[in-house]
Amino acid sequence: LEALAKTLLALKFDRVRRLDLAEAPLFHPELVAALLAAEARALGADLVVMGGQSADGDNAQTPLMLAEFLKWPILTQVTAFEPLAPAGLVVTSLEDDGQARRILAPPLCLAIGNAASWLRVPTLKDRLEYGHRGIEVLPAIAPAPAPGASLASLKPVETRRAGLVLQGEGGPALAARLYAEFLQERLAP
Amino acid sequence: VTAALVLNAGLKVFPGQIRTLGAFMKTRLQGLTADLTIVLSDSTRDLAEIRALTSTPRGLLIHLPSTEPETALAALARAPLDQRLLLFPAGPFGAEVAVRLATRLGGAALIGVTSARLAEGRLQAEKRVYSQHLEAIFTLNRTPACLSLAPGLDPAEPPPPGEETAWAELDFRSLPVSPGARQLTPLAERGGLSQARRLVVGGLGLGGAEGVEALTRLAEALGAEWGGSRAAALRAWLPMSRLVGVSGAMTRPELCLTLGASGAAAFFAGIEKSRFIVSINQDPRAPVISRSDVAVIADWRSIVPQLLKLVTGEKK
Repeated sequence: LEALAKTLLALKFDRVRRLDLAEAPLFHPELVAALLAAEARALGADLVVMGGQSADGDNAQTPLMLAEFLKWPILTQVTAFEPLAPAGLVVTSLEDDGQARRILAPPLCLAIGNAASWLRVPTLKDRLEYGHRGIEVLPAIAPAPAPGASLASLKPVETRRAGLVLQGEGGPALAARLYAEFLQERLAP
Repeated sequence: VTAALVLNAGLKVFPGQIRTLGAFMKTRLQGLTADLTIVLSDSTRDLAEIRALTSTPRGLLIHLPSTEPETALAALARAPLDQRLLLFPAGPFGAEVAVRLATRLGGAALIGVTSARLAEGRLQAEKRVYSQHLEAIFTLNRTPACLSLAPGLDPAEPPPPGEETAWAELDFRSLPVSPGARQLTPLAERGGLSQARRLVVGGLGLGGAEGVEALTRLAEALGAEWGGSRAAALRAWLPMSRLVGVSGAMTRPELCLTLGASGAAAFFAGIEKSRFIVSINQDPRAPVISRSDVAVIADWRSIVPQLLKLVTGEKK
């Protein structure tokens, strides 16, 4: 996280703030959305760009709750957006039936979906000049609704199969064995 | 406790979604009954088709000027619904409306749900968390509980003719429509991935364009569809329409071959319903090895050319 924050600073983001969720309960998207809503209001932001879902809770709810708390519209599964003068945005997103393109004006929340995108790599000069600036760490305190859903139990997803291993005979021999023993019959019309 | 199914008839995917919700209602709801189907309609779909696909005793047709999420939400928040559980389909519309409606009405929501039950008087729902590694059961603390299904669940056959649904209607055609014009381009066909009988999929081990070319040649020789992991798609080695996994196609082929895919859980969820999985990977510690029926520990480059000869020779 520190390395990512320094990269963002080197890319000339004005400020990087980290909301410290270390003490926050797991699976509480209402709290994260309330924190972000408070931040957006305090900053006077009119555009919030978020990921689609957190890898841990996999809740996919935070951007949607944030939009409701702010009473802003939201687009999910966003794959691209660009500014449109004087104060609009062209947003491309995936919907159930296809790819939608809209022209919208802020305030707006965007939740990014399957976008082939990555962070630019900052120059060494910018890393040295901007990357050392401090990161603000804020405690995760905000009035928020209690969790709508509480974790009752967890168990591993079992996906093991036979796992029969073929190895060490050289590529052509392995391919021949794979084909003869496991594929030929299954490929019969 | 009764449940209602909520669907958007304005979507082209409506028939598949109502069949999947129908199957969920019959096989994945324990101690609960869905007695109502709520259909949001912008009048683009024939009412006879909606009626033929509905399998609950009661139906509620809500007429809207548009079935975009903002308008649908405004209508559902005003509709007099007494169901404590509302079930939405998988996909962007179902997920968005489920969570926003629950937040607006002071209820609870979950996305990616695989089953729901009433246990000791409390609503519970199951879903995967931690990038598909763990199965979690959540207790829903508030109602209405708005649940959007996980992608890739089985659809049911349409109900037999003659099953009667008593329909009511609500007219919300005077609601405002979201500002801003929308251009919709139908998605490039996912290559029929979700219906494919044979599938060849690759991961980062493909290494780039050369690997994707080998993958597609092998797929063609096998009469298979082809796709790849999110990691490969994000590098633009293959189009997003070929993405396999929780954020792409959920497949169920008879035979699945993986090339250079480590078997990350979010990817594997997209092929786990395969009847038989063969993996070719040079890393014996890759998770995909134990998740396959047969695993060849080798670089795909040393296997695929010979395999192509054998498969095409057989055809000749």
